[in-house]
Amino acid sequence: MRVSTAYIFDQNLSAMLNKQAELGKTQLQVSTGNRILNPSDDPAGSVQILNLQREVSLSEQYLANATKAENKQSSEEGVLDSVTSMLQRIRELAVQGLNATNTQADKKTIAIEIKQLNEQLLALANTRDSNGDYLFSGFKSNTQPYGTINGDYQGDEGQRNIKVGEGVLIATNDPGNQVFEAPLISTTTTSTLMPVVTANVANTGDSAVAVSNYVGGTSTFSKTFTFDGTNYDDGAGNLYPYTAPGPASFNLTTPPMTITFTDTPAIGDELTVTNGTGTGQASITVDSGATETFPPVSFTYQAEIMADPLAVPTPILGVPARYQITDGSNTATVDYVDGMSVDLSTLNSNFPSLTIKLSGAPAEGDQIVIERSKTVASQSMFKTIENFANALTSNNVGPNSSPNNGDFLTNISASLGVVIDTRAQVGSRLNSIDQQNQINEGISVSMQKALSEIKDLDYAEAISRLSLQMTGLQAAQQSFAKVQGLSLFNYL
Amino acid sequence: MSMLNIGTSALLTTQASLSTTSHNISNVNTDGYNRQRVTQATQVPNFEGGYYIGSGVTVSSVERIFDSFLADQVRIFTSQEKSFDTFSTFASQVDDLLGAPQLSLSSGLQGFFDAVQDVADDPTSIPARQVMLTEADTLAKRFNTLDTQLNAFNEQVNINLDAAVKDVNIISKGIAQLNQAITEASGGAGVAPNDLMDQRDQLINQLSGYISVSTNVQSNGSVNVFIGNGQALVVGQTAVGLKVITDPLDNTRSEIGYGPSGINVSSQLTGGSIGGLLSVRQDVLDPARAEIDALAAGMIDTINAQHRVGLTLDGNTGGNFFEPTDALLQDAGSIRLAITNPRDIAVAFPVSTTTNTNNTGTAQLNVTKVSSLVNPAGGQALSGDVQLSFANNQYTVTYQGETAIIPYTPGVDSGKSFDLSSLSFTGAPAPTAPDLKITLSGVPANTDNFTISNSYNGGFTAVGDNRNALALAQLQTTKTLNQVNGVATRSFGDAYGILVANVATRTHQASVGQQTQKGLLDQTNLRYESVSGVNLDEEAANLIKFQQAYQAASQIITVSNTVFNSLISAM
Repeated sequence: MRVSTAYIFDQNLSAMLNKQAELGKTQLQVSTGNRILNPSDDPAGSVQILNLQREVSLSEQYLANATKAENKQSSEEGVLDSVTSMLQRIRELAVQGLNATNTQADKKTIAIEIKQLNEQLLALANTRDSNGDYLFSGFKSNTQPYGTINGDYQGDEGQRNIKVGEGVLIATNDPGNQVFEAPLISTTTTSTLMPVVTANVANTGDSAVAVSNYVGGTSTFSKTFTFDGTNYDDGAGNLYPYTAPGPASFNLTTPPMTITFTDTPAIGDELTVTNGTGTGQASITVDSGATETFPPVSFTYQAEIMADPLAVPTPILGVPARYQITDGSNTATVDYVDGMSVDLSTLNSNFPSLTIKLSGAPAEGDQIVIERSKTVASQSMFKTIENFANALTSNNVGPNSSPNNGDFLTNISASLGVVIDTRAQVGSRLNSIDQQNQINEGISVSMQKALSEIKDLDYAEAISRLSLQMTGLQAAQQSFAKVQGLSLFNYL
Repeated sequence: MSMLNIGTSALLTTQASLSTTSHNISNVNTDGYNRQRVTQATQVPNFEGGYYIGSGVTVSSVERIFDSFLADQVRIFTSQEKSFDTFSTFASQVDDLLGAPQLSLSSGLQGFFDAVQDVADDPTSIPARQVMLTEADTLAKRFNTLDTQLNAFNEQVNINLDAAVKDVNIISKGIAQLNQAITEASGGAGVAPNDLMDQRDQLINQLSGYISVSTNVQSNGSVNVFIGNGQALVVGQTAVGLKVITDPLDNTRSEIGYGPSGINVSSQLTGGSIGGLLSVRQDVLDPARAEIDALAAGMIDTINAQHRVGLTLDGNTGGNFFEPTDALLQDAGSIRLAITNPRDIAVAFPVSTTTNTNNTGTAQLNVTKVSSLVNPAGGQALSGDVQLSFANNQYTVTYQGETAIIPYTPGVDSGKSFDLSSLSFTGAPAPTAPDLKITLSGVPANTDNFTISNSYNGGFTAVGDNRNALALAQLQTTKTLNQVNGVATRSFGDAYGILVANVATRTHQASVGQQTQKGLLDQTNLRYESVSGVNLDEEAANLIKFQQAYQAASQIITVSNTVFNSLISAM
């Protein structure tokens, strides 16, 4: 085929220019290190790059979030650590303060130290982070969670989450009321002294009154009922109609009790009901299940019944003074000796594990009820500690004082338990963050790798391509010069 | 006829050949030049009674070596190559723009959402909020810049169309003038004015670089040129002009008008740089602008909707985060930040939950989504408290004195999400259900209860609440755009990725197409040039050939002279 001189020239020139352009592109690839210079070089690849870059920077953001979450959790853990050791110290002091060998002055000194520690605890609960936000006030970052020792929680129950992975939220705070508050256990010992009925010596009739359902405890009272023929008049404006031979029962409100009149009184007969004067006491000496609540256990005193072999129609066998013990479903009886100790659980395995010291001179029918219950609502540990310190100051920490010794130690342990639980949660969150970090780092690394495979230049390939293109261009240039030199005109 | 006459005819003919060869050599680099060749023929012989004696040679014609089929092919491929080339040049500018890391919306979105997460990490931190505003502003500016750039490309298309149309008009006038010159030069004698025809063919070739043309040669030698669906651009000696007209619906778009009345023929034009400009505008610029505008509008709506249900650091309603809010005005060019005070970023949820302190179970209630407010001005999502009380495997929801039931079997339904807005409350009329979504988890005890109340109640203290910031951050990966059957199929990043991919694919296709057409054009040119192009070696050989012929013819004169002298001297 014949060829056109000018066209061959043009063709060679444009071929060389193309080679130069390719060379230039390879050189740009080598100098930038990118395989894809424009999205159009590899449309699918460049969209993948966009997606991968998004994933990589998302996981980097998650890692950054995780660092913040970790910092917040670490500072919370630090605070909780201090709280734990302070509570332990307070507990030690409480044990020391409850030691009976301490003088009142010693107890006061201990109470002062406990109060100081309590102030520090309060300060810890009001810790702020580097932004000036309160750590333990939920979402109410600018609200001090506990204003005063006896103050209620002022924050809310908001828990701030931080995103540490796609769909993975980690809480970074704990509301104060879930850290510094716990339900209270309280043990109460209630005595009820059976009222005593006395008949006026001047009574002419055959009058009698019996008391039942007395719930007045140990309050003092005296009520005198005078019979006027149709009513008993208590002298305070209350008339109780009575027709012989009765019985007629009335429920009184002060003190709450039921009185039952019987027999045939004469007009003017007087009956007096007064509070009992027994001095029976029950105190807990060994308390091996201090954290367990139990239903009311009642001790009802029954005075000694003297033996009377001559009684008619049946001789009476003597029964010693004793206490009837019941928790409502189980009963036991112990003979009473002043100062005796009773281990309840040996009497009946369903009874609480308490050893009770019974003492004093109880009267017939006197009742002592021991009960341990737990409040549903929580109370701040500051209030609990403050109450105890006050009680210690006034030496009001006896077995029948509330808060009594065992209860305080139980309650402070419960608070400690809540704090330790929270620390465990913080620990497990830190653990989750670590695990999530590993996942994110793994994602980041594998995404970076995928990104690099798509985006980055294979230098070995590019360099060899570059040298091939350089050789090609050089060959084209040399052959162009040589071929263009060939012309028949050279020989004319 | 004498020998002298024969020699003279040979000398004249050879001179013509030598001239033509010289013409070929001198035009070796002339664009559009087709080589010429002298066709020579014997002269009419003399009848000498009984036999004919040759009377020498004569020039029968000077012909142009030209293959009109190949010329047509060259035009077709020129149009196509030029069209792809123009498309590819413009598309790769858009491609560069979208791929540039400094302008990419992808990194803009990432920067913004990273900042949102930083705010979620520290909701009360003013510096973090300030960074979020700055990043949002950067994102909005990137939209603006992309819009400006794409508009500039559109304007560039208009300018190029204008220039191309001017060139087309000049060329078609030139063709019309050449038609006239050629018709006159041929003068009915059928002698072709080769160089004029070369010029005309060259002009038609140039025209095909602007637009696809078809030609029709008339018997008088003139050529009619057609474009589009047969609109005549040149008829005989008349050129019909094109003009640039403005799209009546969009004054930023130029279209091509035909003839004095300027009928819009854009849709019928293909090939050449005009065809390339029109198709790059239709296939790359328009979709890119539309998608970026849609992304901007979608982002304004989505982020604003979430931001409006939140509460600011001062307990006010969030309001709009981006502007404008009028759907007709929303586009990439107009998007801008609506708030300037970092305290006005709505990071908190408008409701808070209270667990009754007497609850004995382990149940938890979390508000996961607030869809609307009942009192937007006051930042209140509820008209009074919502109370949930558990008993016998169901929660009784009490709101405005009326009740509704949520069945909840502990252990089965734990962690399940419930939409309060779909509850049917008692009462006639029943109160409008709260527009909230909650999750219930854990094991509640009977009578356990929770209260959901407005966070803002005359005052606002839940400044550490970051739930709305988390919800905003979630919008980065949530699919919120491009509804298909009511289900959104794209996140913001996806939408941008698809835009980049579309432009990149178009650019890539155009670039590959351009290479292919360039190859085809080269091949056709090669063939065309092999027929019509000047080869200097060939011309040199011809030069020698004709020189020798001339020398030989000169000898005829010499010999004729000698013969004549012999005759004279013999007398």
